[in-house]
Amino acid sequence: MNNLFKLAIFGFVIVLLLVASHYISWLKPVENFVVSTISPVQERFYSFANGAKEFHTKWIEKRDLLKENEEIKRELAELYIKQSRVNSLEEQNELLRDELDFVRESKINTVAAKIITGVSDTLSKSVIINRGSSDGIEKGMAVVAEGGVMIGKIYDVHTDYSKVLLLTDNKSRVAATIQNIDRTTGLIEGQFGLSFAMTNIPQDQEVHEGNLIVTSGLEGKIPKDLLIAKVDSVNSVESEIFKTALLTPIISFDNLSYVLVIVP
Amino acid sequence: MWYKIPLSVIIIILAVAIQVAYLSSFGTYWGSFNIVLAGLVFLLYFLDFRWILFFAITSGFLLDIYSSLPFGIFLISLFATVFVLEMLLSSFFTNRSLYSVLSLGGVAVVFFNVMFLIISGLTYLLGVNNFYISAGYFIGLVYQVVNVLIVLAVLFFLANSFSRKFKPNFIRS
Repeated sequence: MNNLFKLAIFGFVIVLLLVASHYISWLKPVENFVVSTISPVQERFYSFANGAKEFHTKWIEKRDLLKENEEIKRELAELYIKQSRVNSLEEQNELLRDELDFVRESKINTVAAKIITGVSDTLSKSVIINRGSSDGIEKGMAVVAEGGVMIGKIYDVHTDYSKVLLLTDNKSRVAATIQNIDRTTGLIEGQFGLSFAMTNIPQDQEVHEGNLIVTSGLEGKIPKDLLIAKVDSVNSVESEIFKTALLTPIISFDNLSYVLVIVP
Repeated sequence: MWYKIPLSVIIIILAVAIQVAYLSSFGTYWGSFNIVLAGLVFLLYFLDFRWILFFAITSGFLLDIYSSLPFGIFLISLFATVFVLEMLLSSFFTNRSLYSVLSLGGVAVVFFNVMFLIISGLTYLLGVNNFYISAGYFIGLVYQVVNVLIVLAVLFFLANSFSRKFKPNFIRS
């Protein structure tokens, strides 16, 4: 034990000498030598540590990327499933739409036609379309423009073309109904090619400005409830049995190019 | 036996280099590996105390060179630690078992850190050093105990495979 203490005292003295030498800078050359000697080893270890850290970082990044890749693959698979569902729904939707169109078509069959020209005489308000009897067109069929608004009816049919008498023509007569409380029926007559009016309205029927006029369905080849016009004003003379409603067209008849012929 | 000194110096340099340049680069856990201390504890069972003193002073000196703390903290701490460990080994941990080695290692870590903190505190009181302890230091201390014990356990089993130093001796009558 005495030997141990002797050694300890010896060691402690050395330690104190080293510390003191350091603070009075006597040890500087030794420290410099030690550092310069060991520095290559330290550099190797340090660069090795950096390499290991870089490897570790890359490994972590790779692991994260693989994890992310797995996640993206899973999301992609889910998206494929969703896409397939969307496709199925789209197909289903298309099918239903087709069926709906079919239902519509079964109710109202139409033949699309292009207005070739007006008529040569200025006394009537008519147009000529590029569909005729070969397309199933018959005299008396209703002709509608965009949105299903009735503009006239077929009055002359040929094989490849037909003539349409517009509602504004003086000769035009169409059975119609006012969409009021009484569902008043009457007759739409052209007013000199400028406008049209609904005549034969009983005096006791209430007709107001803005009421809509639709086809009555009393004519065999013209379906019910095709929109025609709206009431602009009502001419009522108490001494007469019927009153007349002046109508405003829903659409302009001047710029028509394509129409539909309703084939019952 | 002349080669013992340069070989020892090389081993010390390598140990310090691994601890300072390599392990310190890997965050709190790996940075808390005190290989030098674990090596000193282990060598206490094999070498004469003079050699242990030589190792302690040399490694303390190297660690102080690479330390940002005032010079001498590692030197004094390691010197005091090995002195206490030698006393304990000769008086208390006479049984050279794994438990003895691990217990001595645990004491070494705690004593070394106590000395380290005391001397660092003294330098702060003397106005030489800005000294403060964060919670991270104590977490690192726990890691250090664990790591030193792991290193000692590994060294113990390795030494037990190649040497009879840790094996019981029976006196033939």
